[in-house]
Amino acid sequence: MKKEFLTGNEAVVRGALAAGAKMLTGYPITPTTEIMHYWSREQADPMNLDRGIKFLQTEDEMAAGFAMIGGVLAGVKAYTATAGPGNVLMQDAFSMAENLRLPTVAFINQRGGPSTGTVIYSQQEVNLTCFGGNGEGLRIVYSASSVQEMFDFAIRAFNTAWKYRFPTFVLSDGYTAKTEIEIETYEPKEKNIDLIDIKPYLCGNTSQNSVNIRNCYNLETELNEIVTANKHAFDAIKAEIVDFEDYKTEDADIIIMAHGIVGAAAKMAVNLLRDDNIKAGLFRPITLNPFPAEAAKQAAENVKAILIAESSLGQFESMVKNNLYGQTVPIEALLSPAKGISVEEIVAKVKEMI
Amino acid sequence: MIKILLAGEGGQGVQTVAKIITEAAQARNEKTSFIPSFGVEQRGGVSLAYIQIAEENIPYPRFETADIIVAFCNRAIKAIENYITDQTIFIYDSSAISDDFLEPIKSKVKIHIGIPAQKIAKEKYSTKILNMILLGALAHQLKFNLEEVKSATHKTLGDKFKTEEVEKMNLDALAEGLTLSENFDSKSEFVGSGKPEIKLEFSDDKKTWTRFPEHCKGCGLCVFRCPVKAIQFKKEVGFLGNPLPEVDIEKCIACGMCQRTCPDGAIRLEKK
Amino acid sequence: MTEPVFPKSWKKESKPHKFCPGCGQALALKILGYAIDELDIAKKLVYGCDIGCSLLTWDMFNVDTIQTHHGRVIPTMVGFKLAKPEAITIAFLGDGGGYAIGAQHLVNAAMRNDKITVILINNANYAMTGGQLAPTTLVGQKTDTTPNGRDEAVFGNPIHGPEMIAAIAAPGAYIARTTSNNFEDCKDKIKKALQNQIDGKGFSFVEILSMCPVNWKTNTVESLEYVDKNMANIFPLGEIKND
Repeated sequence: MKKEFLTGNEAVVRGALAAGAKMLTGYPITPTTEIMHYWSREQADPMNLDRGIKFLQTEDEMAAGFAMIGGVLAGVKAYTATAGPGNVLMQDAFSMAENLRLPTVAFINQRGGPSTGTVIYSQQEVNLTCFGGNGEGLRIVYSASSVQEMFDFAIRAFNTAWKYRFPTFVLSDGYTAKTEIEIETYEPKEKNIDLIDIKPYLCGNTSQNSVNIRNCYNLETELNEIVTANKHAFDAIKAEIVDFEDYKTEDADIIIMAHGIVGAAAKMAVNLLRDDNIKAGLFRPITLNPFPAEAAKQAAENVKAILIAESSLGQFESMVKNNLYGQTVPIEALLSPAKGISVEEIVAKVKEMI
Repeated sequence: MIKILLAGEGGQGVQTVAKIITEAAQARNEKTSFIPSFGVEQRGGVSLAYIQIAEENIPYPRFETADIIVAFCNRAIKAIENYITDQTIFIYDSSAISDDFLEPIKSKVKIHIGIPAQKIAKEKYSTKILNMILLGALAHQLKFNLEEVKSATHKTLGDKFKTEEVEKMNLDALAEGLTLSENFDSKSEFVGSGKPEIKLEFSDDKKTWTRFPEHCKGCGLCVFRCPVKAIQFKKEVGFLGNPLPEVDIEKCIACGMCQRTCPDGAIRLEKK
Repeated sequence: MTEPVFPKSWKKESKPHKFCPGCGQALALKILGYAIDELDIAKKLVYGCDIGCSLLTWDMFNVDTIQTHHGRVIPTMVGFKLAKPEAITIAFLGDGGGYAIGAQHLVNAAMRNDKITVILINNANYAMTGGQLAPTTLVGQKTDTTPNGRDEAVFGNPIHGPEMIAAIAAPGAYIARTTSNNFEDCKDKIKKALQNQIDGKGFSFVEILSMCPVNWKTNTVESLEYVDKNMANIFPLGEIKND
């Protein structure tokens, strides 16, 4: 373990390497491009020749997504990284990965939307990342609130993807991606994290029968059965996957629900509010999909009010409300699309509420 | 409301029957709904048509059980199996559907109308219009008279008939189907055809030419690419209901063009 | 018991295949099967297919296969080859996948000289969806979306894929056009393309002219003629790049 000054994008590459990732295919887009810079430097480094690091800058995000799938099928931990409009294009590939339950890993650094929006910051790719494509959202999505978590979740994402065989995402944002800060880096074994053994899907068997994989079916019933079975499999692993941060909620009168970097701001706000004798707490889902519904309900059980804060006009808010269905606690929201939410704003909003 | 399910091979004219029947019902000022099934294959899959006829508008095009089923071919049976109830009238091609395919539904079917459409079409008309014979039977079960179906046929297909003779042949086949259904003895046994006896091998002392009916789609590439015109279509039909080619083994020069050009691998030529 | 004559690399269980009677693409796939047999590469091969009629080939071969999305088989195979360079990869697709929705992938794979083999069926229409205009549709050819025939003033002229790709391909690339009506020539071109990949020389690309009788609404003789005369006139057969 060591302390290092890294940006979020650099941390992703360090985490991916630590997780045994071997291949990145991507297309440049701000604020994610540096992931490709750092990875291609690793690939080009003569010292790394024997590590089998592969890199391809493709012609577009669709190619990046499908080339990643090609790598996964060949039995390599392959990943991609994108943002905004690139995330839109990549849904083509993610949708196939979802149908075939392929362990793809993608890092999404959210930027302002819709459209080209801004290249800076946002939390507007929650719906797209969790439920994009023409499917049912059988994807695992971690929301990172810090550079440290971008490193931690990079390691975790590859293990989750290859263990459970669902496309896995680390959702972050322009601020976290570009921030340079001291974090702790480590090799997985230093934290007793075992890396999953992986096998190729194609070209790896020695039997006489070939492996023929399709994603297009003849009958309504065929697809219905496959999607239903995939959903059951997804539901069955939910309990093992869900993760959240529960901060000072036990005695709280009001809890803030936020994810990603807004969650980090909310945590600071909770401390400031507590200094003013306001019993505030934070519930921060780490997995947005599957959502930690039970824990969220528990945290909300005895509070007088909930504040939802996010840099979007309610994508996370509807997710929370869906998962708290049946509870009667009053909910207010601080919604700021495509723009950061400061600690002070959150503190002021909570004070206004009580 | 009457719910009708038609099932046959793609290319057998299932959807045409559906269009004519809905046309006939509309002419009686009834409301109809018709939706074809559409899989990923243009050909090769079983073609289904879901039809409903009612006095009121029909908002939902699909249904779970059928009042009338028309089965054109062996492969149709699996597709319609679950739509049979005690009241279902089961119209089937008794010359094309073999007993082994009927076996699984024998206990389910309470009312059957066997029409040897393929046999009649082959002998009197053309295999391409066996659908008109089955249409006639279906029309009779729906209590349409001959003039009504003829007029609906004309409205639907009118300009698609290349000659008057073709039109007459279609209408005759239609009339025959209607009469067969009228005269069908409801107490007759529920049986299909035996397994068709199709000659597979043709040989002389130098070579053997084999053709596989369960693979041949009747495309005719072998017929038209044979340099000595030794291959011709015959009356026997393959699994898609298309005519099968046969070789005149004496004319055959064993060049192998037929085997090479067959997209389905359905011809084998062996020199001795 | 005599059995049908299939290439060894065809998957017997999935036959008869799902292609229409008289399909030229099915013929191309049979020829491809023989090419695979003769090169004896089935166990080292990864076969990828696109969407369109090519999706019907997901279980065509007794070869590890991935069916991808429309236009995306090339990048999938590029990724596979990058991850596992010793594998032999075939990206099989139609004219829509290669020249329209996935044209950028074909162009860039050729530019990078990716060592994959692309086999593209040119049947001058979008067949799976019922016969619409394709980039390869001939001027004047009627399709479901050009009821009066392709008008070059609106839709331009048919694309010459191999010539376009040859113009940007790197030394070592193999590019050819053949027809599934010519068994020997078609097999020869496919084998050369695959050999080019096996030898590590570079990108290889074969366009195969193919009949589509069902959507062209042509009989057998007309279908053969349409390929051999009309199409071959516009799309010259032969090797466009072989160095």
